[in-house]
Amino acid sequence: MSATNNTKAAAIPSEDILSRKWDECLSNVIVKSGIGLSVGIVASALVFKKRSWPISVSTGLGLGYALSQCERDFNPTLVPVAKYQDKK
Amino acid sequence: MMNVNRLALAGSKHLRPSQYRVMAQRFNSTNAQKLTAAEAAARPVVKSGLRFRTKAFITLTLIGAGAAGVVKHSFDDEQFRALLEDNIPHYAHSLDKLEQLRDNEDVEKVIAGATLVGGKIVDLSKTGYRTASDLINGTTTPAPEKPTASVSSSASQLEQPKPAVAAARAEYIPSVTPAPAFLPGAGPGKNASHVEKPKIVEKAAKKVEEVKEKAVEIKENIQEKIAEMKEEASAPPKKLIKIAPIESEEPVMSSLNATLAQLVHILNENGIPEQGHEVFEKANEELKHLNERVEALKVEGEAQAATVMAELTEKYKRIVDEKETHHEGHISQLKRELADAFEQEKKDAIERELKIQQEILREEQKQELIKYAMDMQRRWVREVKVRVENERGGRLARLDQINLRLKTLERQGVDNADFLDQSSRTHQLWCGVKALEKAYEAGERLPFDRELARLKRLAETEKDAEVLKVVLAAVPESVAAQGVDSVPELMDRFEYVADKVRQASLVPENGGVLAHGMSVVLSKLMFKKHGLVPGNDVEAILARTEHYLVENDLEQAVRELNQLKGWGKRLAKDWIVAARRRVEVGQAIDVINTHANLVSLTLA
Repeated sequence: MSATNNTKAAAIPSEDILSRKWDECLSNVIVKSGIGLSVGIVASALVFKKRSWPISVSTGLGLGYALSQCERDFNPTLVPVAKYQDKK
Repeated sequence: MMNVNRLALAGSKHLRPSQYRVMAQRFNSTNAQKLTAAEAAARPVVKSGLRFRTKAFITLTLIGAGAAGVVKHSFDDEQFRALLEDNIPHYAHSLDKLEQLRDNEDVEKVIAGATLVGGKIVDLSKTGYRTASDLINGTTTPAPEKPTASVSSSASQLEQPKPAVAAARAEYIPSVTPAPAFLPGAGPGKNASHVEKPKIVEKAAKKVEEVKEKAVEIKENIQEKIAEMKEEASAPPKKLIKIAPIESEEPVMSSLNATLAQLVHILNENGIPEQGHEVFEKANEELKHLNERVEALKVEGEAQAATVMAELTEKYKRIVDEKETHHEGHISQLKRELADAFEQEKKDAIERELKIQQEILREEQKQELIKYAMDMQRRWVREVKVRVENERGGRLARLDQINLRLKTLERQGVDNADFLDQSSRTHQLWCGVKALEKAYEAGERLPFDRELARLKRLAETEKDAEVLKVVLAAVPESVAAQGVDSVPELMDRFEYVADKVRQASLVPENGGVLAHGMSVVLSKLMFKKHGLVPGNDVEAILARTEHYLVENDLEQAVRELNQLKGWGKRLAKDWIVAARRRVEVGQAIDVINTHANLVSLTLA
């Protein structure tokens, strides 16, 4: 994992870092929301008696997941469930 | 009738066949107890399920169990307790109170007391039950054997060992007493009467009686003897013994005499019978005889000793004389021998000394001869030289001059060669530098590793090329192999980088997707600056860098761009590295240039 990370970092000129991040983010959004959409459609058709809400819920879940991945990518210092504590 | 109406109504709705069948069944039944809709609504509904109070009871039980569980767990787990204390108000206070209650000893005592009371109650109830059953049945049942209370049992335990100890002691006592029975003066009454040893006691009693009788007898005897003595004492007056003191030289005799005198003195005082008197006088006479005899013997002995002494002295004198004469002869002989040896040694020493002296003199002679010979030779050589020189008329001097001139020519030739060598090398150095410069100044990126290698080789052969070597070593191989960007390339790249930096300029620290997106959008609304503008914001820095680039001052441009912070810095990093490389190689080339200048100046 670290080896691929290093080679990836070496290939990109530094001015293109953000562009790459945007590319990844966009691809993430498309892929994940697409998956969410398809899962939602399938679930709605099979399980939920052709109601509309599973589709939107699922797509939203996919989008949200993609968003959180993007967030992590742009801000690597983000740690889940981290609380800001006053120095006592 | 009504059924028919309802069916018709039902038919007006859209029903599936199964529903229709159900409805038909329902309405076509002849059961008179089927309710109408209105009647069904009128009747109070019996809700299915439990009654309210049952439900409430169950809920409360569950809540209570849950609360108890939570409290118990919070006693066991510190983290859990802390979490609850933080989030539930007054929780800490209640838990503290509960803890106090738990740890309270009074509570324990109360519990213990309660258990005791409970036990007593149980016993009472048991006895009550027994008496009641007796009364009813008319029988008597005995109280059951039960272990007494702890206090009474311990008391009984304490009493038991005491009589055992007393019995043991009673048994022990009699064995000690028989021993003192054998001492004199011990009466039979001292025997501790005990049935166990009758025989020994009887024997002891008998022996005691015998001893007593003997003692009485002895006492009587002594008394008799004393009476006799007293009688004798009152006899006719005693005669004092007279003895003549014997004078003698012998210490033995005198001591005997003294003893005798003492004895006589004592007996005189105490008084003795007639016989003793005579005996003592006899003893005195015999002592006198003894003394005379001893003296006679002494005299005889002395005479004998004298004769023996005379004989011995004569014998020894003779022996001593003989020995003396013998020794005198010996000594004279030795003396003669020593004198001869001494003479011989003296002669030898003298001979040796003479030989040594002869040798020394010979050596000196030789040395002087050699010196004289060398001297002679030198004089001869000088003479020859002088003669030859004079003859030749100074031709040797002329030869020397020629030799000198030849040497000078040699030196000059060598120097010339050196100079040519040096100049050719300098020329080569210049060529190398020029080649490097050409690669450096090309319009696009060109590798210059061959030129660099050439220069390195040149630096090896040159002397005083330390600086050159260091500078050449400072340029890394990878840079030489790839080459450095040219200025137009850098400028192109800078435009692209500047664009990206502007896009990322509005991102706050630790910004996420949205922050970056906003930055991209809003940066398009910002004005671009140009020229040498003061200020520390991103636009000013970028403008200044551009200005320096246009003026071809790469170093300043790099310094400016290095002042960026955060994302801008990260984005511009590679460009800065490339520009820096170019600057470094440029500086190296400058140094080499200077070195070449210096060399060519020092050449001439």
